[in-house]
Amino acid sequence: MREVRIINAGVVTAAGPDLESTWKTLMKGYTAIRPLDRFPVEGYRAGIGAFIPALNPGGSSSIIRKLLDLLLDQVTPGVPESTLLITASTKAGIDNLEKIKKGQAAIPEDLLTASLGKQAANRLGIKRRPINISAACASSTVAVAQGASLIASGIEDSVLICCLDVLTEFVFSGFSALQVLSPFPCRPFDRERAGLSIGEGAAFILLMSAEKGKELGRPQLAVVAGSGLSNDARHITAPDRNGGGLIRAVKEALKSAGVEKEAVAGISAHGTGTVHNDLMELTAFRSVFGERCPPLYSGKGCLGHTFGAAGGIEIALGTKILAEQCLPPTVGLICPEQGAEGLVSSRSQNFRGQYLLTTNSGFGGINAAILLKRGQER
Amino acid sequence: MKQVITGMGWVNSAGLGRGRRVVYRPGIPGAPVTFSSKQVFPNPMPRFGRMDRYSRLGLAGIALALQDAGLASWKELRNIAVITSTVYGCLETDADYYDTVIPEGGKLASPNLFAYTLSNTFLGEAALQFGLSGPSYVLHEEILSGLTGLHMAMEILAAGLFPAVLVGMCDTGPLPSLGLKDRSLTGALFFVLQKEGEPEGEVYGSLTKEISGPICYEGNETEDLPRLAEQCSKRFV
Repeated sequence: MREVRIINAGVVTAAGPDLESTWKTLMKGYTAIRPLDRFPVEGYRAGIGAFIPALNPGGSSSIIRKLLDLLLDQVTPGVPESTLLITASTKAGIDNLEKIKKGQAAIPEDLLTASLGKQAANRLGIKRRPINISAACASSTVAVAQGASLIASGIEDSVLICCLDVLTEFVFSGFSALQVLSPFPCRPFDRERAGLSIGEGAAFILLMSAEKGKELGRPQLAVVAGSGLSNDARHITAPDRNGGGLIRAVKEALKSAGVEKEAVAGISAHGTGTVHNDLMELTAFRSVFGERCPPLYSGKGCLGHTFGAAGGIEIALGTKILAEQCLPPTVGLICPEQGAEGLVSSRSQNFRGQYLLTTNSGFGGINAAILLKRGQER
Repeated sequence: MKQVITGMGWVNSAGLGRGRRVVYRPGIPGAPVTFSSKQVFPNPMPRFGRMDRYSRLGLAGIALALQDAGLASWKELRNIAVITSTVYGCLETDADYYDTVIPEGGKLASPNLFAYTLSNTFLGEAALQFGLSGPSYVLHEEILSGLTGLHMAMEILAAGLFPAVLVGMCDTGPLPSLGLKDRSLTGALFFVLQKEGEPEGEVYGSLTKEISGPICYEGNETEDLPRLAEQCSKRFV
C-alpha cells in the first residue's frame, strides 16, 4: 500500500476565515458561538450558534455556494487536473428549501448535493466527474478515508476533499425538536453539558501519494496512516451506549496503520456535548486504550457542530496539532464528566508523539476514525 | 479484480422482486411505487410504516437483495458494507419536514420526520434490521447510474475487510413542486457482491475490473445498475 500524504488543508469557520486564524481562536479558548440573527429563534430551545457573518442569506443562491467560494479561494496552489474531487455535505443548500416553501426566489438545483461537486470542479478546472459523499456527521471523515484508500491502493494519485455545511433554520429546528440543542454554548465532556450548539463551516483536504507529492515538490502537512469505518447497527439517531461501533472503527484504524495503541499521543474527539455521545466516546476510548488513554479534546465548544464538515475541519486542525505538538483546549469545559478527568482540559495540553486519532459518529449509526501521522518533511 | 454477484433485489413502479424469482423490469421515472411490508418482510415490521417513503424504498431493496443472496437472517453482527447512490435522496422528506416547521415558528417541528432528513438514515435502518456493521454511506450523483458506487464497492470488497458489500441506488423521483423535474429512478435496486469462490451455490456471474478501468459483467462493460440488473435477470428466470 502506498503512503497517503496531506499536502494542503484549509478551513472557513465561525472562528476564523482560514486555518491559522481558526487555530488561534481555538487555542485561546474563545468560543464563536453567539446569539443568532439569521432567522427567528423564539420558538426554539436555544438562540445561539456558530455562524459565519460573511454568509448573507439574501438572494436566490444558497449560502453554501458563497461558503464554497470562500473555501476554494484558499486552494492555492491549485490541484492537478487529474485530481479526483470528493465533496461531503449532509444538507447542501437546504436553505433554498426554506425560501421555496416561503415563496421566495431560490435556485432549486442548490438543493442537490451533487451541485456542490459541479461548482467546485468548474472553479478548479477539474474535468473529471466528482463524487459526493453523505454519511451524516461523519461525511467528511468517510470521504477522507475513502479518498486515502483510493490513493493507497494505487487507483488515484491526487484526491481533493471539500466538505461543508451551513447553519439553517431547517437543521436548527430539527435538533431543537429532538431536544438536544444546548441553551448555552456547548460544553463537551462537561458534567453539566446540555446538548450541542450548531455551527457552520467548510474544509478542504488535499491528499496525494508520496510519489505524486514529491514529483510536484509539494511538502506534506501530515500522513493519513490508517482509517476505520463501521456502523453501530443499534439505533438510527442515538449512539450505541457501549461504543461498539466506534471501538471497531478505532481498532480498524490502528490495524490498517500497523500502529500499536500506545503510539497514539492524542485524540480529536467528536465531542458534540450531548449527554449520550460524549459518554459513548469515553466508553469507547477507555475500552480501546484502557488505563493509558491519551489526552483528548473537542473543538465544538469553539466552532459549534458543523455536521458534514466537522470531520474535515478537525482533520485540518489535526495537521496543526501534529505540527505544533499541542492539543487545543476543550472550550466550555468546567468540570469534566466522570471518566474524563485527566483526559480533557479547558487549557491546551502537551502532545508528545507522532500519531493523532480523530473520530466522528453520526445518525444512521455511522462511525469513522482516521489516524494521522506527523509529516516528516517540513 | 474479480468478484461475483450473489443477490439482487428491487422495488419500482413495475413491481418488486428478487432476481432468482422474478424478471427485472425497470420502472418509469416518477410513476408511483406501491407495495406493502408484507410483500418484503416475512415477519411483521411495525417500524416500516413510520419510515419516510425514501427509507421504505431503500430498505425494501436491501431486504430483497439480502434474501436473494441467502443473507437476510443473522444472529451476530456482520461486517457488511452498504453503498447507495441517489440524486434527490431524502429531499421529499425534507419538504414534508419543513412543512411542520413553518407553522408556529418551529414549535411544531416533527422530531420523527427530522430523523429521516438525512439521505443515509435508511442505511441505519438496514443495519439495525439485518445486523450490518460495516460502513454505510450515500453517493449523490448528478445523473443516476450507480456506477461510481459499484467501483467503490468493488474496491472496498477487494481490500478484504468485508465478506460482502451491498451496492445499489435509491430515489424518490423528480420533485416538480420544488422545481426539480429531471428524470430519475423512482424506487430502489440493490446487489450483493462477494469475492469469487467464497459464496456457496450458484451466482449471477462475475464482475471484473482493472485499476482505473471499466467494470465488466461477464466480459461486457457495465453502463449502469439498471442495465446490469437486466443482464443478471436472465441468469435464473
